[in-house]
Amino acid sequence: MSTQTDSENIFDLFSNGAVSKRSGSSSFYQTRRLAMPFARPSIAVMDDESPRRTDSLQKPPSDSSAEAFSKMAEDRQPGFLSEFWGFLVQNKKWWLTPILVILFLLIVLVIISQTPLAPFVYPFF
Amino acid sequence: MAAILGISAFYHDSAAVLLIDGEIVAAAQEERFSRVKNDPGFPARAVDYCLSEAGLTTADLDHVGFYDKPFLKFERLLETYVATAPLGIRSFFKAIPIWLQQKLHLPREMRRALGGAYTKRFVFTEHHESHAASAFFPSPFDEAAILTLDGVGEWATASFGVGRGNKIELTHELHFPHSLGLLYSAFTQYCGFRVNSGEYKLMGLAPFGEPKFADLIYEHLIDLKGDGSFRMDMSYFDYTAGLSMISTKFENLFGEPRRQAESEISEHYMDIAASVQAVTEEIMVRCARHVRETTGMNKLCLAGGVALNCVGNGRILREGIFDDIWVQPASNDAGGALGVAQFIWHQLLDHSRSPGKIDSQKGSLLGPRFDHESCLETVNREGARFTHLESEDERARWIAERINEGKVVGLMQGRMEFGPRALGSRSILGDPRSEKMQRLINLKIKYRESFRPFAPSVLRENASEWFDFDPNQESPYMLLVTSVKESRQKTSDDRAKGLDRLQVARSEIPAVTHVNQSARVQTVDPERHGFYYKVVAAFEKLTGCPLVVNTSFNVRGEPIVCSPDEAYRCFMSTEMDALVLEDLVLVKGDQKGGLDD
Repeated sequence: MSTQTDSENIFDLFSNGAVSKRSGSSSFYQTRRLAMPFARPSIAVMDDESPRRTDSLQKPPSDSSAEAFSKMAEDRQPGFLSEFWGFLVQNKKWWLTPILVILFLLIVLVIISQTPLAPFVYPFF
Repeated sequence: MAAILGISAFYHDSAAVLLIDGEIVAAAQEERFSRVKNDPGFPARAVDYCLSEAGLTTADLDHVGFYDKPFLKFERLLETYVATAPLGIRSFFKAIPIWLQQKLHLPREMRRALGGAYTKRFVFTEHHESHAASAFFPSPFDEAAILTLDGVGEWATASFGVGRGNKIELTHELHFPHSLGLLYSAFTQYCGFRVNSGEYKLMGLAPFGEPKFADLIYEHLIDLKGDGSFRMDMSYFDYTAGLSMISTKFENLFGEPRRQAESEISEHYMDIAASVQAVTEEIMVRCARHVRETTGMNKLCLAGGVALNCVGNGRILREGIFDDIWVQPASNDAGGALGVAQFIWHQLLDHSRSPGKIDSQKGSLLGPRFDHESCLETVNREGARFTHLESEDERARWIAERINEGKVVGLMQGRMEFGPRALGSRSILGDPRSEKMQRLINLKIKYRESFRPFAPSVLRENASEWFDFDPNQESPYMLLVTSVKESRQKTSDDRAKGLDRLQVARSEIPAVTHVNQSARVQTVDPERHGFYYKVVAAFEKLTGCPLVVNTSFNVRGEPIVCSPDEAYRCFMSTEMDALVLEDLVLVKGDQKGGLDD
């Protein structure tokens, strides 16, 4: 069975011409990416498996991987920034970075504008 | 002992599930406690109930899992906004603050909601992985193909793979925005019903129409391949950038504007419903065939919101693509809570799985039970007149007699169902042989649209005598639609059109026979259904008819009742004739303060 790769860009996905162009492909199924059990996929037991690989899902975990999972579950939850950074690295979604930075700055601005520091924000505009 | 809590929340149908050493101990949707239909909030009450069922506190939990991956979903949102900019700006400003404040911080939110007592890491599985786990792990199959179909999770809108032993492996998926669930929801909105809850209505409306627009859908809306995969022409839809499912172009294509809610349903919308149902079934069948060919499996497990399309499920079964299919009864997002919990137990902790002849879902009777004392407290507080019938056989006979008299009986007994269907624990029962029963229950008890069909609960051993069912086939979760046996059908007046077709008695059991001679069957067996089996058996003994009308114990727009208080209130505010609260029976005529007073 032929499958599409991850190479298609997001603008193709939202193309309005999906039907008028009538794709010559015989299938639109995509091979599944690897799934990871925590919010951020940075688990030692699975480090050797990239989430972007295009072959099938992980092999059944061995006894040791079940133990490793249990051990990791005992850890403290990583912080939000650390988790998100891990997500960007793992998925190589670097283009999201400027959007996130701008969003972050906007949030900081909103927070500061509600504090006594508000007058000092005006010089930035 | 290992205790695992699964949670689905923050979108719709939030729920909690508790596993103890891999066994499903408790499961419930938050809406049943909060009384907010499809409640999207954190399922605090459902969690409390699950823990109390096992006598645990949050500090006793070994693992807590969430049914999807928020970062991946956020990535999809951002990519969608970039791809559609600037069109999605309104939607962007509506959605992003919630994400920044809450949905991106789920570990913090959940830890807070659990009272800070759970200190370990949270586990996050992908949305379709959760659905797949909920489809395969409770099933009675050693190995099976898995197919999940829904609106959208992170990116995936459908996926398939294989389950073997204690592992699942999903290999292929379809991606947003191309989604069978969202396609169906778009038509749901076009026909004037609410997205995420009105899909059942669209399915019930479909048999009244003709699939006149199916070709138009294939021609303009989707590019469907032989393997069931497809792409949608997004110029007809607005859900990627707007706050609506469909665009003006969609309305122009079908020649009529979207139907206003509560307005009269014309034949046009019936034909639309029939058309999208036909297309949906075709996609489901093609997907199933492809999954069978690709995986080589002869059994299928289904989950995801689209798997609640029991007409489609029945079609897959009838086509004989698989020898057997098993559908997760909580196939909506609530079932994701079960999926993540079972994924942790089997897939991540590598515990073995021994499927038996019967699935391990326990009849999906996994919610709270209220004992005699609780029911007594309710009736005493309300000053209700009641009779105490301690013997189960006597009680079952009493209910059967009332049904035979043409009365409508509310039944609240045993553990509450997990999933959207009432399966005999929180049900309204009636006589399927009555020609007026469907209209009566729809209009005077449930206060809902007259066209909506009712399901039969039939004794498993008699199902094949009344419906087109293989003698070994069962449908304990009311997730398969089939035809009433031809020998039970009556010649119908084909000149009737639209909703007038409701006036025609089509079979010996008109109250549960839809206008196309179909029925959404629930088979009842003593192993799963206990007392409810006795009720149907008593009706059979009394009348020779081994089935009753079974519809959910609620009124339109409200969640199914959970407690005796809610059951009593529903009983008194409708024209229901009798109520059974565990071993207490109440008759409307004996009460004060009902509708008659």
